[in-house]
Amino acid sequence: MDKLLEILHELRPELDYAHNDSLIDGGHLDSFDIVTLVGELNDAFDIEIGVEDLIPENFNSVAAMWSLIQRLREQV
Amino acid sequence: MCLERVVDLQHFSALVQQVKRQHPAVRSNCYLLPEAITRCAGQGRLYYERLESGSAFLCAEGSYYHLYYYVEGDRPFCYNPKDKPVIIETVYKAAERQANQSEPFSQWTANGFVLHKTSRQFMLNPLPAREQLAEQLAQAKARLHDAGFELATAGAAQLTEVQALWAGALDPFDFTYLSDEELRCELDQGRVSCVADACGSLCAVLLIIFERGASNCRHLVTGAAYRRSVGMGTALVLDWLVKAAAQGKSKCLAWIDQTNIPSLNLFAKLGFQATGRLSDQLLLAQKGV
Repeated sequence: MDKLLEILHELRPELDYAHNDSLIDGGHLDSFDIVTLVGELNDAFDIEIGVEDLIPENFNSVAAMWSLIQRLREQV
Repeated sequence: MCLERVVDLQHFSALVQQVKRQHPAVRSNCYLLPEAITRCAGQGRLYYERLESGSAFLCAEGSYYHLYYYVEGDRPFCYNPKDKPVIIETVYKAAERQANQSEPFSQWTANGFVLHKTSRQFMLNPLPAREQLAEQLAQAKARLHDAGFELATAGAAQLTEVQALWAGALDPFDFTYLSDEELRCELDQGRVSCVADACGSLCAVLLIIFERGASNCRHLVTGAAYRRSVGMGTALVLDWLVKAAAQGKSKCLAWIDQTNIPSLNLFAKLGFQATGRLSDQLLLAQKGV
């Protein structure tokens, strides 16, 4: 989880990730951020986030992203 | 090599996975999310082409293709011109580009692509108080009215007039050029603000986009005869901000060609600040040109 937070803070340091569960729906992260983030997460966690995973529900909160990472790790 | 059609999101996803298996160090400029992929594939305008170092996805945008690449490494490779011009867009943060790459496009410039333009993203966040915006808009509308113009919302009957204004001023390779059907939909939903003269003829227009939590404006155009006259651009942008605030949006964003000084000054005057994000557009002329 720390690694995920580190990546997110590097991407958009001004956001309060701990208390935000609408990162996409609230317009805080956009498609450019998501594409950058996916590359970072793939490298950091040795996973492969597919195009079909790029839905708001998977990126609206740190918990949702962590859940996605865990799910993809189990599939490896 | 020829273009093949992407059928749907699953097809797109499978093609990307295949490229990544064959080329583990693949890089991409693709920021299409599933919603957009599904829409473009469903409209039959998303294609792909296998390259020696990856794959290219081309989205037909009227008079040109928008290319999204998945390629390995920086080395040049062979890329053939198409029946229409091809545009590549790369979005980046200014600091990253300066730190990481002195020649970021070598593999594309080796294929005949040239830098077409660079745009900068500007943002107003948070929006001013609604009362303040309403007062500023009232002043802008009064100035227009005194000069014989009115701020309004364009309707479907003005579709060709809106298109004519855009065609006369917009970059022909603008990424968000709308089809007739898409523009009609925007007009029906009241998302095209305009300034009209006493005869009802359109003099200036602006397209408003509402997204999740934010709003974007596109295609702000003032007819050549009215530039620097009575503040049409200011009135249209203020009208957009008022509408965005009414929709509960917390921020407004706009991409502006970095050589468009009047537009840069207009947005700066209204409090917009650069986000540090830039977009380079590279252009490859069509086959035989």
